[in-house]
Amino acid sequence: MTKLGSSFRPSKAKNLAVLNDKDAPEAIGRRLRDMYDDVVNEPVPDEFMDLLAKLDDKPEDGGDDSR
Amino acid sequence: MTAASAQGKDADSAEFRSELTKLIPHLRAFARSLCNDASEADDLAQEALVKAWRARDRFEPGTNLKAWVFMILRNHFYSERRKAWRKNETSGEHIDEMSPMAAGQDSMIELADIKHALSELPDEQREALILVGAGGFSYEEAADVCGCAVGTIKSRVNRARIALARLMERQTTPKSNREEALTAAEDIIAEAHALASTRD
Repeated sequence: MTKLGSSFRPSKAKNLAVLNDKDAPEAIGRRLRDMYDDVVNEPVPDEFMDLLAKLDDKPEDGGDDSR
Repeated sequence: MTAASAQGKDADSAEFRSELTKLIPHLRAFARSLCNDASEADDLAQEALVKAWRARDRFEPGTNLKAWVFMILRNHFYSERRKAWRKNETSGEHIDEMSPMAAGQDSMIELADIKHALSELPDEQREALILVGAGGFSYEEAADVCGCAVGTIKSRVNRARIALARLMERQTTPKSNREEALTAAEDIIAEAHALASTRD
């Protein structure tokens, strides 16, 4: 599957229509991971660090969502 | 509380806080896959962090913190959405606008394609596929996050993969068929001309 990418197109394969059925799931999987990893690799916005710094040390009832 | 146990608690809190900090990038990514809108997703991730922090006494040490916080985020997302729906039903308002995608980069085009295809999947299939296919969760962890059986997650992931492949195929076909359609249109026009000329 890697051989297809390198010989066929220098960058990431763009158009799924040109991939055959066998390679399409692989391409979609890669794209899904890329999409997720793009966000994971973003620098964490300052507001998150501010928020964590502000969390007090007193645990309270956090509602029902943790059940 | 004795000084020693208070100190132990502080250490636990510090440890918990630092573990939560490490999870932030993943929480943001998962939230983004649920909301699409980046700032809404960050709000969701922050709310989940606060909820996890407040409920930390309920976390069982030694179990999977990442799955636990993801579950909190997921439950919060769905409960907020249910509330919003209820509100919309009574007020008659309707929010159904897609957030505009930033364009300009090649990678954004593919990203827009897959995001659009993902948005057409049922919620439970989308989240299962994101967790397992993108987030690197095991089927067991994903089942914990979603509160369902491992077999259910497996079949959701499978169905999502098949559906996504079909959706992506459908998105790309019109582009390749455009030329064909043009030729067909030209044929029709030519035929019309021919018919018109025989009538004269």
